[in-house]
This record gives sequence, C-alpha cells and structure tokens, in this order.
Amino acid sequence: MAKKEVMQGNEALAESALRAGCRFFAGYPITPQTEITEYLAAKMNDMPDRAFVQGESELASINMVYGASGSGARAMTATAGQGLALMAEGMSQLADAQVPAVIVDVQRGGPGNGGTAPSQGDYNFVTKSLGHGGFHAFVFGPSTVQETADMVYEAFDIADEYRCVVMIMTDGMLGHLIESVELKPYRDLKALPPRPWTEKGNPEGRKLQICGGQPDIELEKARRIEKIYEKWERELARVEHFMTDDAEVILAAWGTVARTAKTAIRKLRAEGHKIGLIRPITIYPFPVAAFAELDEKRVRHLITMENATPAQFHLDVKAALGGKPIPLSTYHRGMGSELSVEEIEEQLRGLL
Amino acid sequence: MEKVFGIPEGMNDKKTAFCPGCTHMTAYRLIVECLNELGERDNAILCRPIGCSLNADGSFDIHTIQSMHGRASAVATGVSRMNPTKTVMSYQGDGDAISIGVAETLYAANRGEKMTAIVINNQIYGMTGGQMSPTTLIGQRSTTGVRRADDTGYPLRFAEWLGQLEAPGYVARAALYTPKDIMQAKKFLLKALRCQKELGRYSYIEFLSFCPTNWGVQPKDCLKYCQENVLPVFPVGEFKSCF
Ligand SMILES: Cc1ncc(C[n+]2csc(CCOP(=O)(O)OP(=O)(O)O)c2C)c(N)n1
Ligand code: SF4
Ligand SMILES: [Mg+2]
Repeated sequence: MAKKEVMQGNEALAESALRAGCRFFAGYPITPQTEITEYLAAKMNDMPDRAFVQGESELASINMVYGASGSGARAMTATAGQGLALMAEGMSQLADAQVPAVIVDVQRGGPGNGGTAPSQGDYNFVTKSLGHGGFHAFVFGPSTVQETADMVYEAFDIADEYRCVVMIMTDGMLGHLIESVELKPYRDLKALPPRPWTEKGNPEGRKLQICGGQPDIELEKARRIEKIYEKWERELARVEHFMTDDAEVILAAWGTVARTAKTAIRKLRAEGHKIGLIRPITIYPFPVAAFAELDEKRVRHLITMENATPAQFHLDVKAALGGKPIPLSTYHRGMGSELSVEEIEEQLRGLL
Repeated sequence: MEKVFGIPEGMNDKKTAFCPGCTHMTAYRLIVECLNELGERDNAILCRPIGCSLNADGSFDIHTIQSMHGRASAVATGVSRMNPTKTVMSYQGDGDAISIGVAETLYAANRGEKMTAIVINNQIYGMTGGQMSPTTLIGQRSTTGVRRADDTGYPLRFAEWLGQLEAPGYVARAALYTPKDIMQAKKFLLKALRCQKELGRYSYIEFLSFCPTNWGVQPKDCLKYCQENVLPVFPVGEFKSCF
C-alpha cells in the first residue's frame, strides 16, 4: 500500500494531477485557488516534457490549455469565481472542438467580486452550461482531500475518453483543508492512452484540423455529443447514500456541506433518529435515480442544504424528485458564511 | 517550357470566399511557400483566428487549430510549449491581434514564446463588415465612425512597439502590395520562421493588406491609396532582427 501523506486539498489536487499525467498547466492567481498554481509552478518546469505557464489572465490561460491539449498533451487549469467566468469562452471552444481539459473551480463567493470565503454559488453555471452555446462538462463534487486527489486522477481519463471538459468543483474550505491522503502512482507519460485525433499520435497521417463551426457537420456532431450526455446520465452518475436505508428524514447536500452534515447526522443517529444523507458525487451527470426512487411511504421529509443564495442545487433535487409526494424544503446561506455543524443539526432537529 | 509560376505544393485551386483584390490569400501563399522551402510544412501548426482569414478554408494543407477571436497567440503558446520541435505560427487580423487579443499577443512576445505571429494589418474589421480597428487611419471612414484622434485615439504601431521588447528575436512589417513588396514580405517571413526554428525565438511579422470591400476603394486604386495613406503611418522594415 502506498504511503499516506498529510496534505492540503489544493496541493493534493495539484500533485495528483501530475501523477495522472498532466503535462501542461496554465493559470492565473486567485484566492482560494492560488496554492494549486504555486505548487505546479514550483515543480513542473523541472520535470521532463512538462510545462507550467503563468498566464497573463484567465482568458489566456484557458486558451493555452486548449493549444496544449489540442496538440497532444494532458492539460489542466485551475481558477475560482470571476476567473471561471473569464474562461467561459475558452471552455465553450474546448467543447466545440472536442478538446479535453481538466478544469478546477475552487469556489469562492459571488456574484461579482464576491468574497474569498467558500461558496457553492457556481453550481448552476458549472452544471448547466460552462459557456455560451449550450454544452456540458463532466462535473465532480468531492468532499474530502482524498476524494479530490482521486477524482482529479480519474478526470484526465474521462476527459480523454469522451473528449470533454471535466470539472472538479471544490471550494475554499476543501482547498485549504489538511488531511491524510494516499496518492496514486506517477503514470508513465509515454504509456498514456493515445489521442489519435491530435497530430502527434495520428496513425493515418491526416492533418490535425481542430476547429468547429462547419455547418454541415455541426448538427451531426451536436447530436453525437447529446448521446454522450445521455450515456453519462444513464451510466456514470455517482452518489453516496449515507445512513439512508431506514431513514425517514433525508438531507441532500454535496461537497463540503455534505461533509459537515455527516457529523450532525452521526450525532442524531446516536440518539436513535432515523436520519440519513444523499450526497451526489457527480453533480453533472446528476444522480436523478437516488431521488426518483425514494420510498414516499418511508421518507417523511427531504431537505436540501447548500452554501448558496439563491438556492441552486435544490432545484436539481426538486426536478429529480419529479413531483413525488415527499415534502421538500431547503436551508441555504453561503455568501461568505458557511453552514456550521450546529446549525445543520438544529435544522434537522426541527424535522424530527 | 519551364514552369515559372503555379500553385505551390500544399495549396489547391479551390475557389475561396475572399473578395476580389483581397491580399489575405497572398499571405497564405507566402506561408505555404516559405514552409515548403524550409521543409517544415508537415512539421508546422498554424493557430488560426476568427476573421476574414477563415475564407481560406480548405485551400491550404497545414495542420491548423481554430482559435477564438484574439486568442491565437495564447493557443500557440500552449502548442509551442508542448511541441518545441514544431514550427508554430499564429495568423491573426489587426483587430484580433492588436485589439481584443492585445494582451495575448504582447505577452507571448514578451515571454519570447517559440512561435511566429503573422498579423494581417488591413486597418479595418474585415469579417464583420468594416468597423474601426486598432490600426484604422486618422480620417478613415468605418461603419462605427471616422477615426479622430481626440476621441478614438491613434492607429497603433504594434510592430514598432514589439521591436522594443527584449525577448523577440525578429520583428518586421512588410506590404502585400506590389510584386516587389511581396518579394520583400517573403524574405522577411523566411527570416521570421528561421528565427523561431533555428534560434528558438519569438518572431512577429505584420503584413499590410488590402481590404477594398470595406475601405470603399476599387481594387485597382488600392495601391495608390496605400502609398498615399497607409505607408506613411505604417512604414515597412525590420524593427528587430537576430540575423
Ligand atoms: C469575442 C468575440 N467578439 C467579437 C467577434 C466578432 N468578430 C469576428 S471577426 C471580428 C473582427 C475581425 O477583424 P480583424 O481581426 O482585423 O480581421 P480581418 O477580418 O480584418 O482580417 C470580430 C469583431 C467574435 N468572433 N468574438
Ligand atoms: S472583407 Fe476585406 S479582408 Fe475580408 S475578404 Fe473582403 S477584402 Fe479581404
Ligand atoms: Mg483587419
């Protein structure tokens, strides 16, 4: 078994990306993401066949990632809040050109400049469409440092397989949390899966033509990509059921809110209350079945909690419930002040 | 009989969507010819912008990556860092390189990326139908107004500016006007590409180009128009050379 290390969420993510075979990173400093950029700046340019560039902006960074990935390399960027907004055009181009990339959003407050405190306010932006024109990224919502490291490692494979953007959505809390983590081994860069559509590994010797916007093939391509989204929704949505087997009151939450909520739920369980948690692990594709299949005879109440105002995640849960007669409510705040264990506990007690 | 002029290898005679008298295609031809002469055409990657250059679709055989408007130099940075043995180029309009993408163009130059930026300066936004560009001349009409120094500023002499930076190895401006100008343009482009390939440095080359359609100048009158109006503002020449 590999050795466990104690690492900060942002650093574990950065190190795990290197191990997954990330050859190129471009990024621009922004709290609470900066440690990822700093970690990779310190390491990458000394590693053979890898490069780090501090972009002059997020606009530049995402387009550097596009160029690097489009011409053969596993590539990543990381940002937060308004930085992600600046990357929207580039992410849309990645989607259109079907160039894979891993993009990390260490969420901070918003809208506007917001604050640097943790938030889940980018939920709708990231899960519904990361830019103009309409498209999806595959979106992970980790809630521990270990999960962050594992997800980013897997993200590069998913991105290559589906030629898509894979997002890792953490937040300032998870990014700065220090936990023990077991990292996966370094991948041999030469043994990474081939990307026949990039010039380097093109077996047919055809010219690399990474473009988009050719009307005759656009609709056909859009339909093909839509089928991929349907497959993700059918087969790849992931969810954690925590103490839900006999639960009469269920809390739905993702990311760091779910993590905090587990403490409250354990406490209430110890007192004998039938309470549990549903935690979407992929937030797109959304684990619809976890809610659609709830037993309305057993579950008395479903409550969603999130660090965002107005509520966003709540709307996905509501849609997934599909009108099932289970009372649904929301408790959310965000905007620079996270939900605490105590207040989550208090809210849940009110439903018992 | 010896054939002295024809379509170079790597181009075809497909009809393009350029307007009559447009010189964008001359730039493409020079790129293909120079890459052929350097034996680099198969080893080259061209980052294309959004702009009238798209009208060349399907007429040349070079690896291309389509970039968003203004971002070609950033895309080329990513390509170049991951493919240091390739000849990496960006092809950009004046609006693309000097307005919306000015930061990306400037920073790629200042970092000394191993690439060649090829900028088509036609003093107008061609593709969107003739709006004011960063190089529109004082007194020149555009669909967004006449350029007046007091409210829209002066045409930006970007080549002169980049010529003062430390990192670039080669910075020049040439015209795609007369056969003599075009021969000089080719000479400059060869140097730019060699500077990148042989010395691993950044090159910038600006090509002065006709846009009869949006200038409202007949193709036959473009040369005179440019000699009188464009060349005094945008002199041709080398602003920095590592050779
Ligand atoms: C973000 C963004 N804004 C605006 C446009 C619209 N647009 C397309 S080409 C262009 C101007 C092109 O002018 P230039 O770069 O000088 O190239 P030319 O067509 O003259 O060769 C504009 C404004 C766009 N494609 N993307
Ligand atoms: S609009 Fe101008 S730049 Fe565009 S193709 Fe026509 S002449 Fe050339
Ligand atoms: Mg122009």
